[in-house]
Amino acid sequence: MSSGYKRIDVAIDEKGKVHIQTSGFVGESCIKEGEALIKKLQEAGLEVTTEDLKKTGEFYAKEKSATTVREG
Amino acid sequence: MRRCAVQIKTVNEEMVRETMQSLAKFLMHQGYPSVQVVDKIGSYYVDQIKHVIAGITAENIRGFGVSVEGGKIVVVGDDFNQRLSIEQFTKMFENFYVATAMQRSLQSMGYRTSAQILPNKTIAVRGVSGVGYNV
Repeated sequence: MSSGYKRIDVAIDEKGKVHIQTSGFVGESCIKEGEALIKKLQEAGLEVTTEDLKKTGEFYAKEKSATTVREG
Repeated sequence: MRRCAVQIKTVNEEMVRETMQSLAKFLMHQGYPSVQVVDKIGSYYVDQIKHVIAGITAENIRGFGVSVEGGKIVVVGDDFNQRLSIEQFTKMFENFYVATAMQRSLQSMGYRTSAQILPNKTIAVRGVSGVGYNV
């Protein structure tokens, strides 16, 4: 992780759809943190189904970094 | 960015009460005077529902009560000629319940949380962790 904080923003719209966005994560950790949150919600008695998942720039940041290391 | 469909599968009574408190604050902010959270909403409903976990009443709300039957949330109330229909109340309750569960889940993962209602009625929940960052 490149910075000192992590953030998860959740928006529950009027129709009840839940939108989750993470920031401060690098690479696959953002996906894993989202999945960890979903697991917690399921433990709390909610049924959660992912309908759409879009990877942001942070997801690919790790891959670029790893490539640089290998090339060096 | 992840979009999810969420349904309440198993109802937690403590979270129902917490959700009703949040909903009462929101309704007062929306201009409903003196919204109160009560443990029953009148004998009228006794025949319809055995145990109301929490109810809301106010000058412009004759009363909505939330119960659990067969593991599902049941909302009862009299919305005739009221500003808020029972369908609107039920949807609001469900969304607030999910927001309550979301905050609890984030807190259990070590995040500090805050929540606000946006003008388009979207509930925004933020969780942050790390040193030197305020929610």
